[in-house]
Amino acid sequence: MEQEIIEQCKKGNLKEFEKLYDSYFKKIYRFIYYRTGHKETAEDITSQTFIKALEKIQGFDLGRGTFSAWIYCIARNKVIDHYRTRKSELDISGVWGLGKDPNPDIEARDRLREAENYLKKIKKDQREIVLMRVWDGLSYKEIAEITGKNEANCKMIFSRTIGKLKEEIVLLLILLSIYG
Amino acid sequence: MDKRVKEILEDLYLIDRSLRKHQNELEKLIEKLLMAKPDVEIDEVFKAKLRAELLDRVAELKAKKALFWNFFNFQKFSYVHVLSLFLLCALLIVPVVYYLNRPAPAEEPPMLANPASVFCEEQGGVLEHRMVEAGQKGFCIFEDGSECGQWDFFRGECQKGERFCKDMCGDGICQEFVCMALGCPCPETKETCPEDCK
Repeated sequence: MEQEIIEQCKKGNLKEFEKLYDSYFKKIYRFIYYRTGHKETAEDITSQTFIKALEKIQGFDLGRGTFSAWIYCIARNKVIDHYRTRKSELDISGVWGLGKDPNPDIEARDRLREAENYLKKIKKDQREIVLMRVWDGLSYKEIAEITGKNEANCKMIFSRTIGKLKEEIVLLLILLSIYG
Repeated sequence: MDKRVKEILEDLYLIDRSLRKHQNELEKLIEKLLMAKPDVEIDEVFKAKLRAELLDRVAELKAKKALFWNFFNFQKFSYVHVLSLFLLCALLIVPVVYYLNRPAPAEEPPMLANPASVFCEEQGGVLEHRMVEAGQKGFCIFEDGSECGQWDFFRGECQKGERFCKDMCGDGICQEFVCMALGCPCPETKETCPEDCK
């Protein structure tokens, strides 16, 4: 079905792009929001992502990957560009960390801070893969296409990173049993 | 266990079976990571606005494309198209035809033979070039030993058998004119008569 829509778009029937927009809007918006934590910025980057996808879809090659990975890849590059162009104000190392939501509720802020504490301890590319798998719900195949890594490599990075984070949890549970 | 957590864990065990023995810790970790996921509210107004923007862009792109292709739309051929194509062909063909029919570069005219030399040879003379005071000069030498300046002969100012060189070398005088008439072609010089011209 999706393939058919893409073929139509490639033939110049761009009105069909609306269907792709409906399928991917929420996913892409969330993906961007998780990485910027700012509503207006996320909206701006989402607009840029879909406009670019619309303009370039006729050059998209179905044989080289899925549309999903392609549009996530555009969004990812737009987020990187956003941090690059505003590097004087923002820290690029935060790109694949957690966005700084200006108005989270207290409970959410605590949860975020706890997750941040775990994720701070792992490398940027490990963090990116963990977030794509856990938060964005992307498959390893999609993660591999988006990040340009090998699928087996992505699986290995994910399992090792989770294994490392697990040790943090064990430590926390021990501390809780002592002082709890 | 949450479906999503279970799915992630099953995936992990497929990669590394040894992780299964840490299921409790891993379950807690994945739950914590999932719970920390920021809540995202979708602004429907923004979504509708972006949709409208994209549709505008679609129309814009279509218009651009149509402008290009409509011109070459052969189904709706009009006189304007015919004329335009004719002009386009003319623009391409005229320079090619002009180039192919350009005049060949003018060849250098063949060197014309000196008429006096030709005339001399036609009359049975043999042409000989000698150095005189004014430079090189052509003489027509006839069988009887007489000779004329080639141009004198051509103009009829000197005839065959009229002027002979007379060897006067050794008379003690270096003479420019040693023949029987004016314009004698055999002057005495240091080279031709060193005895008289020292």
